Amino acid sequence: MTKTRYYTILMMLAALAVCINIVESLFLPPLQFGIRLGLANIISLITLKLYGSKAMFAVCAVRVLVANLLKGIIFGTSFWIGAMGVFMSCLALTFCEKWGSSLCFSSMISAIMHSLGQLLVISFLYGALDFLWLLPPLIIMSLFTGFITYVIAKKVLERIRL
Amino acid sequence: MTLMKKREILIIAGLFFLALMAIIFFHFLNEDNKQVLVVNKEHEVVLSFDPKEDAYYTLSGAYGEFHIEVKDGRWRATQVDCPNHNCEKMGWSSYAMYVPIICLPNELWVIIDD
Repeated sequence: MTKTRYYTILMMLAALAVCINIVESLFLPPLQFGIRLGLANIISLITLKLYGSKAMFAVCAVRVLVANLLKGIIFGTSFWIGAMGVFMSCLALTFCEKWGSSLCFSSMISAIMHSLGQLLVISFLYGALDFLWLLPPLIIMSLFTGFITYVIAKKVLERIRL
Repeated sequence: MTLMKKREILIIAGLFFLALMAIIFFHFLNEDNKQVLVVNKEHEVVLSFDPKEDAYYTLSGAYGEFHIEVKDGRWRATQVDCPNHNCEKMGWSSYAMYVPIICLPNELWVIIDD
């Protein structure tokens, strides 16, 4: 594969992730406790499986920057909360891939780490540990959302031809 | 192809079990004689209320107005001036099903006094 083709595909994946992220935040209401499905994580899983963790980090970084720029909240509190969540989920996916974990397990762990990352930033920014009360229900919800993203990512990976 | 390996199923089941135990533990930890506090970013208590008394409070946050409805021992954020309304979507909180309600744009959170 030529470099141009590689980068073009990565940027198309990033563009898809940005679109999914914005459409989800506009049209899909959060589930219980304000948690979202995190459909953009489907793209992270697909990128990881197709091109590895470096490519996934690049796609996620573009997604966080562009999606928050378009939403008008770049470098605000919500941006840092979201960015930390994405970073933690990417880190979890990288380690899961390194250890040869299944896609389903990786997706669930990544969803949990996403929630944990966000809670840690909120606790750090506001200097209060009260928010960690949210962690147990968030873990249960993340297992559910992680499974949903896995099912969709698997279906896409079965059909995708690059 | 199997969905997950055996050790992965064990880890997921363990996490689920731990989270469930934590929820049950928190459920019994919250005594129903504690006050509910609304705290701002500077950790100042802007309001404290007894959820046993039905009431409707209006507070001024960093972004706009923040309303709290207290009914039948439960409380929730409602009609909040903010861009995302996530705090409203967190729904009802109570001693039994305690969830700290967080409104980031208004820099306010509703917690049980511990």
